[in-house]
Amino acid sequence: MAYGFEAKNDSGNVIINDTIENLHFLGKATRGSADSGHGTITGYGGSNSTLDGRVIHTYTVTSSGTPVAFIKPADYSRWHGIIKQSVSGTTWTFEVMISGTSTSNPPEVYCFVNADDVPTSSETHGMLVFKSDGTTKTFDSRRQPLAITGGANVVPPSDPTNSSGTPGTTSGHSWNYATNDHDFRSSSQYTAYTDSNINTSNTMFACPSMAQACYKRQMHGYKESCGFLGCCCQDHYSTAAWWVMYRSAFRLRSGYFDAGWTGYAGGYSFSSSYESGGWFGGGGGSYSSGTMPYTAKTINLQSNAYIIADSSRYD
Amino acid sequence: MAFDYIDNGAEYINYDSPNYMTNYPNVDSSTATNWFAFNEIKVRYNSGQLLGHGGWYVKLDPSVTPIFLGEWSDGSSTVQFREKRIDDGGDPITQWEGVITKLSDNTTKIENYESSKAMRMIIGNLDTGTNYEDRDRCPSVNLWVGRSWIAEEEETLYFYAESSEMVDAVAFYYNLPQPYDAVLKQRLDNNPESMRFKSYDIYGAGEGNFAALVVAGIVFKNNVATMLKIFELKRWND
Repeated sequence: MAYGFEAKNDSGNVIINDTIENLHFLGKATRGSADSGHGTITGYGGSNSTLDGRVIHTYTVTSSGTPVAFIKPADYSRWHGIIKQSVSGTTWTFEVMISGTSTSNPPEVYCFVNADDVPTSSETHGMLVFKSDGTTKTFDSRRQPLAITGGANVVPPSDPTNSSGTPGTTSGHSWNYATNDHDFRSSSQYTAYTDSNINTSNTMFACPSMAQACYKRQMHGYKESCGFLGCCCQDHYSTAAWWVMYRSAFRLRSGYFDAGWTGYAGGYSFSSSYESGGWFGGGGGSYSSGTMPYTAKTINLQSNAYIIADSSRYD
Repeated sequence: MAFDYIDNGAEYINYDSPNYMTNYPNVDSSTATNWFAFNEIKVRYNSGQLLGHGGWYVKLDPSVTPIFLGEWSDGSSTVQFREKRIDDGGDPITQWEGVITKLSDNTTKIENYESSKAMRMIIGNLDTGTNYEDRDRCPSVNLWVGRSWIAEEEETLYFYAESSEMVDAVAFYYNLPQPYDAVLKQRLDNNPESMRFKSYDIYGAGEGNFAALVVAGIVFKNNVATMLKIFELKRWND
């Protein structure tokens, strides 16, 4: 830098200069609709049906630049994650998923954009730093620049389910056996990262929900009834399948950043068939479970960065 | 002869036929290639009158696919059931449909089947479907097990016939004749296992204590009950 302004921290890292485009507070996104559900496995009425539940709140904000969204939980005991970010024109939409089914206490979403994309301040005093073109702002002290208070790389455990190990498929069950034996909740499946800068009053965080997982428990049941002198046999087949799709989610505790999971959706399918004949019991001589729309696994499981900041600076 | 109106009806051999494979595997060579009943079913209505009969028929050659068919006693129609898997839009429990052929002109129509929400819960903890609360349901029935329908023609609601007292109450409610005669009525009360459609754990009593599900049905046309029928399924060892 031949001329201009440059600020460094105690570690010698550049904080402000003419090339680093600092993030500045754009505003809080406007909360719209909320979709709540999946507190239980849809369609299943037996035991082990409970899931964590999830609420998806939709937020919008208008900006010509690309906003970075921070989640400020209203209920720090719940898991949060931005599961979708999209833009139409200059309207940005965020879908924030939180654990539980209550739509009360929705989080707030604080949005930050580059200094040049933040609306012009009417204040007459402050410090502005421009790029070498002399017109593009990299810093504007009047527009609440983002002050990051902490951050690290985090990754959730690969298994999102509370039960030990991931669920699988087993045969040898009795015909029509349909009792789920796997705890698909995620409340105990997280990795805790120490971060002394986190409190449960003002801390907000930015961390995309990248990892996804989908797991299924499937049970095949069978019974055979043989006819006259063992001449012919009647086959009975049943299949019970429970599945849950997950997104990675995060929780702030005092002194900890937890990387874990929340169930996004869950369902149940059941099939019972057998060979029989007559007005009420005809057909059904074979069995097919169909093709599931996914293969059970965890994807995009890799370290991704979170950053935290003090939301009270921007209220 | 098992059937009067089905093509080659003499080839189907029921339990009461002297040609039934009672000496299996030493089967008379003259009938060895015939169809043998594995299950037989009779549908009765109007004080025990036979509405139709049919069954599941197998050949001794295991490579031949079994057949599920029946005929109306008045010769008006025949029916053949075929599998309708859940993957093809079928029901999770009643995975079949009936193809009914009207013999006077050989036109066909489909009878569709579905299980009730209550039956799905009993059988597979499946919390979907309906118990037909929007229909005219006789309050004496404790368990509606399903329904069938022929498009733009009729609908049948099926229920668990727990006793003759219940079936009689249903007949009274809809102002329809009882579906059985005195003998079958007594059988329903004293030996329902001998005419059961299937055994299910209806009362949650566990394996070995399943209840014998005897099925009866009320036919509705234009939302008016027109027939009460009962199904009598016979197994080879009953």
